[in-house]
Amino acid sequence: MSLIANRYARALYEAAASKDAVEAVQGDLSSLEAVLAKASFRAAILDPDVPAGQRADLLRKQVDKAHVLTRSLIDVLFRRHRFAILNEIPEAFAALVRRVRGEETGIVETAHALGADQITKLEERAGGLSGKKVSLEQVTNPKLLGGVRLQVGNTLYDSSVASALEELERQLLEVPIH
Amino acid sequence: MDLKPSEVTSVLKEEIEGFEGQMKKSNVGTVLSVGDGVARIHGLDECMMSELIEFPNGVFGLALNLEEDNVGAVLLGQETAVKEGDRVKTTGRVISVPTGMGMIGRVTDALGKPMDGKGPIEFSDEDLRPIEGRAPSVPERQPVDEPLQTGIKAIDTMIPIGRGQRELIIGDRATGKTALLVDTILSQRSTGGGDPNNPDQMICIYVAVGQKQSTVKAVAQKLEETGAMAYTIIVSAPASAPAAMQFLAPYGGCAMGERLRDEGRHVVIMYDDLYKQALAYRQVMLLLRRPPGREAFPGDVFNLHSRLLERAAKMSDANGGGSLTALPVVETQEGDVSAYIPTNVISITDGQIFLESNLFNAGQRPAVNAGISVSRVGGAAQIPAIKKVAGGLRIGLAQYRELAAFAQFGSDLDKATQQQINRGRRLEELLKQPQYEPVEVEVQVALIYAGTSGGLDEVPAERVSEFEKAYTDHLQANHRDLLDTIKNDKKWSDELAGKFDEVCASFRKEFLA
Repeated sequence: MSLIANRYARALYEAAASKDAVEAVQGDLSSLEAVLAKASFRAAILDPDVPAGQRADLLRKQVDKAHVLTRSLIDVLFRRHRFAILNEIPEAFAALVRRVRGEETGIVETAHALGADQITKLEERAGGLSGKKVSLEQVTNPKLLGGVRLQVGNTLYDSSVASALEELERQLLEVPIH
Repeated sequence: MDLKPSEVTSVLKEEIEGFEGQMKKSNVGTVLSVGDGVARIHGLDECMMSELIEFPNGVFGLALNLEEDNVGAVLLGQETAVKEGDRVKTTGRVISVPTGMGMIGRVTDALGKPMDGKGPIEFSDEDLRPIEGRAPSVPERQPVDEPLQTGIKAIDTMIPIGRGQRELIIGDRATGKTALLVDTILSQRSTGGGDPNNPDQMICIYVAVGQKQSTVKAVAQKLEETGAMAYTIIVSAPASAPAAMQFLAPYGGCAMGERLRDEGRHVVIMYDDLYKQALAYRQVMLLLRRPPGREAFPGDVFNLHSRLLERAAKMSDANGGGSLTALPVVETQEGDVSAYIPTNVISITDGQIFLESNLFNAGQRPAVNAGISVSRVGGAAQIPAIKKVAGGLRIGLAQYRELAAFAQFGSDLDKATQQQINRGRRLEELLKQPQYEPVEVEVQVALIYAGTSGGLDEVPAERVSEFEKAYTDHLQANHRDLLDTIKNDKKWSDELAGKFDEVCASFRKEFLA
């Protein structure tokens, strides 16, 4: 996520929060994200051969029923020639909302798939460790062999067999040879 | 290879027993880009300045730029082992080097890893010291008053260096800067017989930055041959090492010296050279996109050197009374001492020794320009005997040079002037000294006295060095008692002067016969 997208997202969030419209704007942004996911649409928006005014109109049509702040965002981006970061803004905005609400996403890596109750338990544990409300995404990685590798935000909690073995390898290599 | 099986098993056992509930917490990030020895990393939001960070495949890096959305780091290992998207971890440690007696006699890289093929260096965790250290404060120090004998007549007599001083050695390429350092190391054998365990033995640390590997090898070999390696550490970041290693090497060497200094030992550290270190620092900082300043050096290049050289100190008796003397070297381009880095280092140090290529080519070796070389510690760092004897040497030489310039016009000279020129020529000859032949301080006193008192006036100028050699041998063989008097009492008296006059006169008669 670029610095600029973060700045626009923050400005949008602050404006939305003061008007009590965070959820409405977030809803608009996620529908915009869905539209932008279409490669042909995104290509049209970023195509320098299409006059900027036409591209802005195309976008405005997509958000004509949206909240006034979302429509203004499109206008501001158009005026400042920043369409290139448009597809980053929904994600940046969502991250900001999560941060303010004390929520955090995480990834849990295990060698074998976990059950739903195990995930819930892990989410609770992760919440206890990080002090936030954590929602976990599950990834199965047989290379871990066993144990759990849990990443919440930028913090990694590693108790996998693979990393313990790596550590052991390093310790063995450090044994002085006489 | 003798790997003890029990050790391996016990390591395994501990690992297996401790496995349950074992969890490592670390702050992570992702490599955005890597190239030219620097990496940019996204994430690492808890990373600290100068923290060591771990890349995959055992490569480490040093965080130097903490920005809003990324961390800039220099790589301390192979950059080809790191790729975009790799996961990076913080370690919570700052960069450290092993220190202590185990390092003495070894050749290591900037981070204290052995490079001499003599096997691993044994050290414990307590021996690790961060390479960046705090310089001793004012109450922890005491004034510099003990001499560091370089064994070089021109320096010990006219530009004395004290223990705890910072004396810059500056000159163009190939003017004998490294040779001067090697001679100084060789001369330190006289402090404690070359035994590193003798508390009086001066420990030498030679930090080679951006040097040719062949030069480092030549220095190491010379030290090995003469037995000087027994009390020397070589820290080498040759020209082939990554730029980050080159700018870190002086700090690594300094941390090793500080450990010994704090234990009350006397240490001399030589940075050969700081100009190349500044170049390496400039390279890294430009790649990290720090704003360039004068000569494209980053704004903190002055601090780079001042914080390093401030760590040289003579400690107070309450703090062990040890010392760390710094002899930084700066190479000038075409004798330009007013360039950026030379002026910076001149202003930081307590004096400088100028080596000039004109003098070097004219056969005056060591090519010290006595006129513009100074030591701001001065006579406080000389034993009284040499202070007394060498008092008039600098002035005598300066007068001689002035008169010699006039004498070239070939006009008739009065007797006094003629005599002054004669003596000056002999003094100049006396200050010449071959490489790898340091002279003990008591012999220096005897020789300089012979020169300044007129004892050499009758010896033809071209035979002065021959006379000097024979006279030294004669003194060592037949008048060791006189030399020992100077060595032990460190004083000079009229009585002693009279005795030396006698010895010199009778030897001269024999020599000239």
